[in-house]
Amino acid sequence: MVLVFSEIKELFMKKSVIVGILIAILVFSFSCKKESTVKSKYDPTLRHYLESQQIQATPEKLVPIIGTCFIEITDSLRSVLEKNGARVGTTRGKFFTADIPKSKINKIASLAEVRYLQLAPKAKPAN
Amino acid sequence: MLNFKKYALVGILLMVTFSIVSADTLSKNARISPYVKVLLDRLEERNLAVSDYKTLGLEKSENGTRISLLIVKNGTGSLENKIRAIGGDVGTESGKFLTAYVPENRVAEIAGWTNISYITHYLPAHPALDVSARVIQANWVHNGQSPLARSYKGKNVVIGIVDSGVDWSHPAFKNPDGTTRILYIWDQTTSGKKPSFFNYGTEWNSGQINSGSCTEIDGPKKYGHGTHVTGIAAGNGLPDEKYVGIAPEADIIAVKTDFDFNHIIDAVEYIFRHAGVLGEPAVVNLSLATQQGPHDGTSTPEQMLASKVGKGRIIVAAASNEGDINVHVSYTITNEERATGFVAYSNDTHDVNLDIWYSGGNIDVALGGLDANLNVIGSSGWVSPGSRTANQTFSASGKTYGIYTIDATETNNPFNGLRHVYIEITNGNGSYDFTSNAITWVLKTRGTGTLHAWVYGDNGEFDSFSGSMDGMTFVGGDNHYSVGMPATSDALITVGSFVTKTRWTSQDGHTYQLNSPPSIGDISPFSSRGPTRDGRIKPDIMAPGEVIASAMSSDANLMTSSPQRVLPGEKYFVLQGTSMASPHVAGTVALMLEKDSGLTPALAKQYLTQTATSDGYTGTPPNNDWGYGKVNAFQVMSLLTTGVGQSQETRFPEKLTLLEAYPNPFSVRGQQKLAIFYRLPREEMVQLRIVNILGQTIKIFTPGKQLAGKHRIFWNGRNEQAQVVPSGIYFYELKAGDFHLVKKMVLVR
Repeated sequence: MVLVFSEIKELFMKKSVIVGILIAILVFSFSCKKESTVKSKYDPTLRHYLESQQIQATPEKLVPIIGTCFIEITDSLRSVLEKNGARVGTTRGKFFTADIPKSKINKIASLAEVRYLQLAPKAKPAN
Repeated sequence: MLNFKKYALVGILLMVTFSIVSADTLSKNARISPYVKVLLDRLEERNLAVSDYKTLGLEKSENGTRISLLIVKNGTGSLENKIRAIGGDVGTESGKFLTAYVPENRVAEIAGWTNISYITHYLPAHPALDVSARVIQANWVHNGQSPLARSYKGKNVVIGIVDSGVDWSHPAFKNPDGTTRILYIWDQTTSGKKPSFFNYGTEWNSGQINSGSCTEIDGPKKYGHGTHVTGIAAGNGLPDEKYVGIAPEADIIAVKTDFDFNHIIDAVEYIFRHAGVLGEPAVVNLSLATQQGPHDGTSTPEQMLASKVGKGRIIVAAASNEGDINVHVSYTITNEERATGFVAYSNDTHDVNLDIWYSGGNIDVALGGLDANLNVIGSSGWVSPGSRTANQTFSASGKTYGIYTIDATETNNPFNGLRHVYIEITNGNGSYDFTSNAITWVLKTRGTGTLHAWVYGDNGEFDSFSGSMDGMTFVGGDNHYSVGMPATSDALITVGSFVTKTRWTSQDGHTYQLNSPPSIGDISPFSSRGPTRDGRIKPDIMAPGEVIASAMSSDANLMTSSPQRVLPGEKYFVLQGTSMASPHVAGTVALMLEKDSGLTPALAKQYLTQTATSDGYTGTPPNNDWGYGKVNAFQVMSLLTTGVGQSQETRFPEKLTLLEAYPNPFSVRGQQKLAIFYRLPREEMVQLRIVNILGQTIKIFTPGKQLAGKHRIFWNGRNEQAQVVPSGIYFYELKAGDFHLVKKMVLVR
């Protein structure tokens, strides 16, 4: 069987389209997984807080955070957190306190060293 | 032979004379109280600092040192001229009693006077937070009462206060020369000159405070909460020394916070770092709490705070104020459904939140609603472990009651491995009525597991109803497990509240009292109860928290908002809460750190709980209402000084136990009665005798044969003739079978 050039070209294009679609699906899946992985680092209150309309409207609002890393926080890791937008307060072992603009929280959470981010609970005077 | 007889006669005469002199000396000695003897010894050894003179009631003059004495006479004849003749001065002479300043070297001579029956030393009055500081005997520590070798007031110890701010201009926080006792203030809520350790807020140092350039204020929104708390822990009572705090000479570092826990942790770090630079030990007081969290000490704020404490670094926290609220519910389900009602009280509250924690099994969660007639009006779908539903409206019959989120995605909390469900209901920024006026919310659960749930937010509570209704089985809420975060951490000293005062006279001259006032000495109804979710005893200890007079912030507008709470002079006001109890213990820890700057939190807690007092209200400590009992600053300082607490009161139920009388000292004014508690190991004939310092019986109670267990006798301060007895030291002696125990008390008319 002899295929004419136009048929070969059509078949090749179909393959390309299929491969393209497959790549697109792969990239989309990967980004979804990454997004899901990032969100899995949020505690439930932080996740809910970030979805609130009020905070959506003010992306630069500082969010009070207590974070946990997989490793002890060194000066260099502190610098990494700060370069990515966190105003770090106290570091102690694997824990850190910070105020992070809402728009930068995803970026901080996506750092491989970061394990868990919590919206800092709010206390009230005990009287 | 004659000579021998002469010598024998002289010898006998000498022996008789010696016996008489010895008897006289012994008699004189018996008339001098141990307090005076110790004081005379210390004067002889010249081991008193200049500052001790005032606190011990001594007066230095050109002719030597004079001691303040309370002298008891045999009769009513005046001794004024006789005292003056030896260089003394009489203060008050009434009946058999007189107070006087007398030269130290004439005390023994006075004791030899025939019309003297007893001489004791009285410490000058230091009204300390008028009632509460005396109840925990902090004034005895300030005075250096024996066995303490000297006075302790928290000198060279930092007390850190993380709160709503401090009124730095208040005289209670100034030295006698008018300079401030506050070393630093960090206002986390404003932008200015940042502290070197942190990149936000405004720091003020003592120089700026002294120059008046500090602009930090405590109020009006938080009504001067921080100033009041600071006054309890560290105020010196100025301008008139009426309300002296627990550690009135401590150094103060105050942090004004917005109460977000990341900032609270930064505040603690800030205080400890400054204390380190100063080379001083430090105690931080946290009169704040939340019900959010697993209540097992594993929350990240608690872990971070726990990592900061150590030698000379101690944190004291309020237990929280949900002891009279059904803030908690717990139950087990096994393939079945259970429900609990809960409500939001005020629409001023933006949201009401629930935290549910359980360790094993699978529990689905849903939200339901009941109308005013308790009919079911709707329900959400079930949310299973690993899933969530967010920002859904809860509507029924065309009406929306709120917006809810149920998040059950956390199936393995990174810090305790538990399953965690978070529920939030909002009123849509006031668009909907989600309060108890419109709806009773229902937490619905099904599946298998044992859960603990807490409701928090500003104004929420579980319903107490248990039983079946509308086809659902309800479990009622309770006030157990209501000690909040961070107080559930073992690394912190957790403080609950008991009552030391229910009435006060306001600046308007009227006397006010609490509504439905609780009994003096009893637990404050609001004081949060233990245990922790993982079963540890909390609170650790109790301190006065209801009602407490302390410093008033001039920025707090209290003369407008709550003038009845403002005390005469308008520098002090009354508040209640475990917020007020916690600084009583923080101040006590400051006294302990003055004695031993290397004290660890674990040892501090051990000493505090070991010397805590118990009575008929506390029951048998430790327990989850009272912890280890009521803090006693003097007892714990005595233990630190001598290695032995002054009160070796037994907690062993197999022995006869005579508990501390309450209140002690007590006043007969206002029909107040002294409660004397005791425990019998078995059925016994009982007699209780009140004895004065001369050993004379004042009053006898003969309840007769009593069963084993706890008993109580009230004394109204009157003798057998129903006359009010004079002010002074008395003893109460309990006889039960072959046993008898004696304790001391002080009566003030």
